[in-house]
Amino acid sequence: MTNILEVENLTKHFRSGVRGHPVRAVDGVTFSVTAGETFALVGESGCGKSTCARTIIRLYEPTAGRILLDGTDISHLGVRQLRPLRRNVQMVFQDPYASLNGRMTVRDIIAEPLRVHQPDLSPAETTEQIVDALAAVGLGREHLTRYAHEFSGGQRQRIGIARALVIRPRLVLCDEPISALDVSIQAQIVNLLRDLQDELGLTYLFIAHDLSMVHHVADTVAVMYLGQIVELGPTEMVYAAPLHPYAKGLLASVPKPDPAVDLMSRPPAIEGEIPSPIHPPSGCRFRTRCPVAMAICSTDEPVPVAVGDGRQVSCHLFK
Amino acid sequence: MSTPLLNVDNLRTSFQTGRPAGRVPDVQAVRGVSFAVARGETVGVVGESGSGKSVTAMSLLNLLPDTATIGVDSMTLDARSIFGLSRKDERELRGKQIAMVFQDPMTSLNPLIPIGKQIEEMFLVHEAGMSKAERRRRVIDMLTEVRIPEPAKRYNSYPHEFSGGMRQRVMIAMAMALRPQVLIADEPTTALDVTIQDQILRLMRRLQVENGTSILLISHDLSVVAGLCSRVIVMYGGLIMEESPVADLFSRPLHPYTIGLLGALPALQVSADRLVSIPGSPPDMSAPGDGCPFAPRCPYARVRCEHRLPGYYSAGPGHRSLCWLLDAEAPATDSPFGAADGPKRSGVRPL
Amino acid sequence: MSTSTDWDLLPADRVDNHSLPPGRSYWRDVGQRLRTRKLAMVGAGALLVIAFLALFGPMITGHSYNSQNPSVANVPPVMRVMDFPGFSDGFFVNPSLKVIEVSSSGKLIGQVAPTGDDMIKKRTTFETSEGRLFLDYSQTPARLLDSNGNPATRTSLRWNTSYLLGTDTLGRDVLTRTMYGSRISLAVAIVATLVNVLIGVVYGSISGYLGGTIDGAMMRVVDIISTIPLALYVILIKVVLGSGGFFSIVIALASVYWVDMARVVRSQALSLKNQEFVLAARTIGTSGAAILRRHIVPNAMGPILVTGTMLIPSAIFIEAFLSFIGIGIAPPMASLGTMSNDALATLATSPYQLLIPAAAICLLMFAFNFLGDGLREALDPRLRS
Repeated sequence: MTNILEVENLTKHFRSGVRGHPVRAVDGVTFSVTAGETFALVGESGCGKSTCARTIIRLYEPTAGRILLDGTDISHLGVRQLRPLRRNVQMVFQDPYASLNGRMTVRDIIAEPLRVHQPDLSPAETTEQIVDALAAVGLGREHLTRYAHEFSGGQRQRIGIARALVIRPRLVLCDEPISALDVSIQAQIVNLLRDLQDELGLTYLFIAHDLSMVHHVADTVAVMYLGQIVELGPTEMVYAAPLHPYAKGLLASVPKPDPAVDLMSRPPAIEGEIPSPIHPPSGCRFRTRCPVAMAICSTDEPVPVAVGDGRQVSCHLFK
Repeated sequence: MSTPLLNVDNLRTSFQTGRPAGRVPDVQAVRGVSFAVARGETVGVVGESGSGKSVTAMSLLNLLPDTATIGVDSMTLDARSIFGLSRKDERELRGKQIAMVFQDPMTSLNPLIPIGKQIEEMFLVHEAGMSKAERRRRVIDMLTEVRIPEPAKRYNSYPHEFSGGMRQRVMIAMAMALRPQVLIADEPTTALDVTIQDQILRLMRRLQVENGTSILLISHDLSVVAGLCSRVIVMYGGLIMEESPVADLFSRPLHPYTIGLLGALPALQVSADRLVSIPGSPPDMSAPGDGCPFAPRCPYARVRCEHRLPGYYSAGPGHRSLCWLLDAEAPATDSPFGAADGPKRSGVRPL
Repeated sequence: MSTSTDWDLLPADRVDNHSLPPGRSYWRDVGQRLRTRKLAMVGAGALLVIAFLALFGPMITGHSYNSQNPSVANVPPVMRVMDFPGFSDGFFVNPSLKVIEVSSSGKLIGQVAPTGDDMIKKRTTFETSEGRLFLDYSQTPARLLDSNGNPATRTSLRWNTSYLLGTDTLGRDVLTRTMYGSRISLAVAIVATLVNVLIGVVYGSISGYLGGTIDGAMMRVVDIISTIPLALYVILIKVVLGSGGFFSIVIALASVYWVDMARVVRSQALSLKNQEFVLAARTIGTSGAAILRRHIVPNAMGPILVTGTMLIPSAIFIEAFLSFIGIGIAPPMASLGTMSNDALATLATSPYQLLIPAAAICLLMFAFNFLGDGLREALDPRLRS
């Protein structure tokens, strides 16, 4: 098995309003994605999962760390050197309304990647490829001349997927691809993504906050908290028996679609609010909300510990 | 059965979308919705965007923009009509008897006024006789009740100093300040993270138990509804598709749309290979047609579904569904109610 | 009773081929909404008419904007013509007491040359082929008398068919000059548009899209330019060029009139560049120039148009104003501003000379403003279904 993507100690700090204190959006994240799998980054808003994806695809300049795409370090490549490599990595965005240019027809939208990466295509060949991409996402030739605003949210997301896939990337970053959609449409899109993965051998880096959907789609899951990965492992194992106190609490907070389980039958999973990423707590970042925090947690930052079965946890309990 | 606290009979709300009027057909957001909420009960309204669930709630408080036209046969709270009230009575109704919590805690608070003052406004408007010190004490009580740490200090904080979850707590404090009989919560946790959602849902439950408030919880998330509500109304295309006690709905859904919604839930326990998806897109409410609005997406739709709206069928106490397939004459083949592992039609009769 | 077919299952593939409403682009939508706004259409129609007249009008009138004919100076569009028995033509006395022969159809035949002037009796004698006339200016208004000392048998208002809108102090055709002035106003409008689009939109979108330090530097330049009043630029440029008129106004407008547009476009670009469709284009590898051209500018088009339709009338007004105070278009070129200024001297006796160019300015401004308001409403997303 080869790693299509390796991220080493990736760090992205943004300037904040507080002088000398950057927003530590992503702070030393390390993971690797195997070709053909679905790797999910989950966590609450502000945990850095989207920043992580956007830094990997180099919408943001990494502050530190390395991004290896097929072994090539792309973390500091310039725009021009990066352009040919972009063919291999594409992105599906969250908001089906904001991610498509409302002034362009479906044809123009999907033609954009072809125009950049296959400028030699004849108009007929371009159309053919666009129609193929549309067919793959369940849309037809009759939609070519339509404008994005004429479609429903689910259909727009399909167009966004067709745009990402038309140049046959190998790695697709899905940044909350379903969270803006209705429940019944979410299932359509998740099924579509899965079918396309089987057909085209795609690798997904899936960013989501919907834990139950991640359980359904991901092979490997990494739980992030305040810019760091706290737990990483095969999805089934992490969901069946989360190790990190945050992962435990997070999974317990997900409402169960079962009226027999009363909301109040268990104690609240996690109390308190997420601290500011400008001034993260010392030591373990979760210690302020952790039900089992110890003295060491406020002084020493936990390092990732391998606990077998491809799982790793960053918590002093597992030293 | 005692008389319900809130009773809505045949609510119809439409929006004028084009100018000049009549050029573009009106959007018929709610097309005849009737329901009741008992004292102390939590009723969930579930549906996708455009199903009419939020418009239903806003119609109750007459909070819709001028382009909306509301029609209703009767709308009563405690057996008193709450439709077509004077401005003064309407103000009295809002906040004091029915309060509302919105989805976006970022925009529902005035950013220029300290949160304590904003809650105090409720007492200023509705309890004119209260002294300043008394009002302040009540506000701090409310902040304590919604578990905002250091309430006396937070009284003077501005909304931007709060996180989303804390702001939603402030909104709830404001809504509950006058102990309303009904709390309408429109997607109160949709903008929040899952751990914060858990906290807010618990808070709502606790306040409800302590005050005996009825809650109308509007949500797109069946899981949220499952945990908090005793009864569920499923809306689609401006109509109630199914209404049922919550346990009954999950164990014996009697509408293909409900069945589809439940199937689309990626349950935490099982990991099926594919999710059950509902094909197609939500209906265009400016031309809803005569048939069942779900017919274009329904895998079991019959010819008659496209042209005639069915009546409600009752399937036990408090359980009704709007589907032709529940008719005694409906064939058992190609029907969720005919399959061996599907829900049973027995005991269903026209309402 | 239900029939058996009534319970037939609908075909399974009906979901996919449900038809979409007919495809309409955003701009088709906007155009359609714009056409429903009466005032905007009136404005657009007026602009077309003005543009046509400004371009071709001077060729039709038969007069040139600068040919002077002092013998028919200060003749209004509607004349008070006096008829005398025995005379086939009527006579009009202009404010400078020149007697002008007017045909029955309102044509100006020419000034009747005085043959004698009795300064004591305050009467001027005119000898024509058909008889003698006296102009008695011992009292105001001056009276035209026939050889017997009788006033005109008939005084009537007659349209000036030689000069439809009359003549000015130098006997130039006001209509031709107004059309010529409108031509300059429209030229200024075109220059303003070009400058706004070529410099303002490009500058603003680059500044906003690049952001950071470059944006800061570019916007400080804009700040500096916008703090200096336009009139000062015009005067400076006039001094530097040595000549002036139209060219200095064009250069002044071209060098500074894009700053407001640049600011508007910059703020649009700032918000648009973080929209997901721009991020998507970046992840695709689309170049910065293409992102500006294909994504940012088309999506900022609404505010650009609205700003444009506000800036154009104000550019027209600026030109008229500068010409009015004498630092704009230089004579003999006709600008609505210089015409207004020229008319001030004879305002009491020939108010039409001011009213006509002033009305033309108003018409132009109203037309642009109506069109702009209509565009703004047509572009307003809140009215979109």
